[in-house]
Amino acid sequence: MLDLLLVLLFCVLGVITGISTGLLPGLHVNNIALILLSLSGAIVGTLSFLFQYGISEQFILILICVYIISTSISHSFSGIIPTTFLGAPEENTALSVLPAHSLLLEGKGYEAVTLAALGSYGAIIFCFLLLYPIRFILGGPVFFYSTLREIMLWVLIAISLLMIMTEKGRIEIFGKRGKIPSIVGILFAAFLFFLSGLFGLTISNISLNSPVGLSSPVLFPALAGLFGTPTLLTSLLTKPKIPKQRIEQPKFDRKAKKASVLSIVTGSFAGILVSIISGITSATGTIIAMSTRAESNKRQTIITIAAVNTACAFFVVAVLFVTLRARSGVTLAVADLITVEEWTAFSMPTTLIYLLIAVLFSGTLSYFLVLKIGKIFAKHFANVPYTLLIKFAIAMIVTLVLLFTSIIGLLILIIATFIGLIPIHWGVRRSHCMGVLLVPVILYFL
Amino acid sequence: MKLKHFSIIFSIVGIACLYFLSTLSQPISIELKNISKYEDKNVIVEGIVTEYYLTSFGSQIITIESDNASTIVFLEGKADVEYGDKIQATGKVQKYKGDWEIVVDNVDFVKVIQKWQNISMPLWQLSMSPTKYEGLNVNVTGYVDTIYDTYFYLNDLKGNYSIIVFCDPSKYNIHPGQKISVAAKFTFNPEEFRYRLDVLDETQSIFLLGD
Repeated sequence: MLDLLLVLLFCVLGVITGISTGLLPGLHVNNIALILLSLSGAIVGTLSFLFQYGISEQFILILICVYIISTSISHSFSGIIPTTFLGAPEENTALSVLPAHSLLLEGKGYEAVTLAALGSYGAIIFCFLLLYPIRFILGGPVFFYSTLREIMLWVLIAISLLMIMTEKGRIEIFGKRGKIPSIVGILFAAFLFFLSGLFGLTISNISLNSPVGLSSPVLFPALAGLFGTPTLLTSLLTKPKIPKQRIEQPKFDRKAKKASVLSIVTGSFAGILVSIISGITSATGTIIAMSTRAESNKRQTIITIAAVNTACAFFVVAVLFVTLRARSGVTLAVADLITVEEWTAFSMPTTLIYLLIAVLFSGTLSYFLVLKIGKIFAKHFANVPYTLLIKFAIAMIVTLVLLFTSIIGLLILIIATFIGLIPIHWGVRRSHCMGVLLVPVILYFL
Repeated sequence: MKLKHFSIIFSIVGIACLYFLSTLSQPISIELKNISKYEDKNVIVEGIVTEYYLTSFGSQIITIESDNASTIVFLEGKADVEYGDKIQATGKVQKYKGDWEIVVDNVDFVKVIQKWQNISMPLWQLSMSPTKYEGLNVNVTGYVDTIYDTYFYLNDLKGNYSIIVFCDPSKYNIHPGQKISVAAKFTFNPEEFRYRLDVLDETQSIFLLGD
């Protein structure tokens, strides 16, 4: 009984941490996981008094894993709040506006948060239903993961082509009529994809050092620069007029309900793909999910993105036990802390059961907390000095980059920001910047 | 020129600057015993292969040893190595389950710099530090002593050192007193309480030497 209570307690602590880190723009949950990993020895020492209650050191390490996974799940829920309320551009000046920002500019920021929370929670429920089927498909008797590894190169090339060829942005530098702007848009998307790839290849040869002894992943400043700071800078430069936010629950008619369920289902499947295929992220997963739909709108896109994110956070844990491969910073930390027992039999390894309890409990808790915090944000948003908030967010990212990766990391952040500004100003999808991961991974498999 | 043009130009110039920077931070050669000082750094290490196996997911785990220090090379792929080969690995230093390892993400970054068959040593050298070579392929030079049906004895010139070599002697046209080199697996047999050489497969053999 005490072990279950401890699991729930560490879930709550993880949720509190995850909600806080999710609210801070630019702070990725993988960095939190790596910090916790470096502190694990001290945490076990602090909790050594539990030995007298029959709790082993091994179980304390499982509790740290529970904490890390709860943090990652709640982070995937709360990330929608800064995504919605920070960084919206002036709609007429920026060509590419994120769906959540679009709702914010209509005074419906809270609706965006509600939709995302729904997508995330729906993904958790759906992923639980899929757990056993996916286990049997990836592992024995189907062993799809081994097959997938053999054809990974072609899968990645197909995903890259899908991303580029489905670009809908029109670039009118060579004429405004006919199909030319669309073709130029696709060519420009390819250019951005390969430019990001070149950037990814270049930074992979650079070693970084943290001035305060933290882990220094080179992707941290790169991804923060490609996807975080350009949005914030554009918002700062264009000074959008954010209307007073209305606290309204989203209204679903029968068609919208059906579409939302479909968004959760397709988003969850895409999230599962993201959790097993190296080099693709949630943004790519969302494109895959949306490509399977005949029609889409910004509300369904928000639900899908959230479902992809959370399904990925869920399945990286399950995939770790099926394939023994860590696909994220969170699972790397878990694999380093505990002995991962391969899930080959019908019944799950006990450790995985504890971790899945953490996923379910922290998901439920995060759902209600995010709705509550989203409401507070929406209510008081008009009173917040918006420009100051954006400046604070940028300063926060710069500080974290300096702390984790020093001055070279800052240089990477600046260059990544220039690349990240390209899709916003030229009106193509930002996800082409994922070439930063995809191109090096494709070259690796070649 | 607008900001949107500048963003492209600065991106390209920035990548060029980073490329220049990356050429300055090429991996450095380190000794295995100093590996702990280079966490998260790209390094080049060299050592003798003392163990290697493939995981069920196609990665290769190679243990290398040099100057009484050893480390694991985790390779995403499969390199053509054998016990006793001297290899060079270029990769990132990471800690995994408390042990240091070099994570190599490309097969091309593991190079065999000397095949074990080409690292020959006299018998006395093997006898000086047998534990260093135990379980490895070795290439030992010496003189044929008594020959039996399934084994023969290999001695040094003065007859101070001797080791039993298990093989089919009739395959190699050897005779007592002849100088040979034996490329074989060096193991310890606890039942007989002695070391032995085994010529087991096609990579292992006996070569007749000149004098």
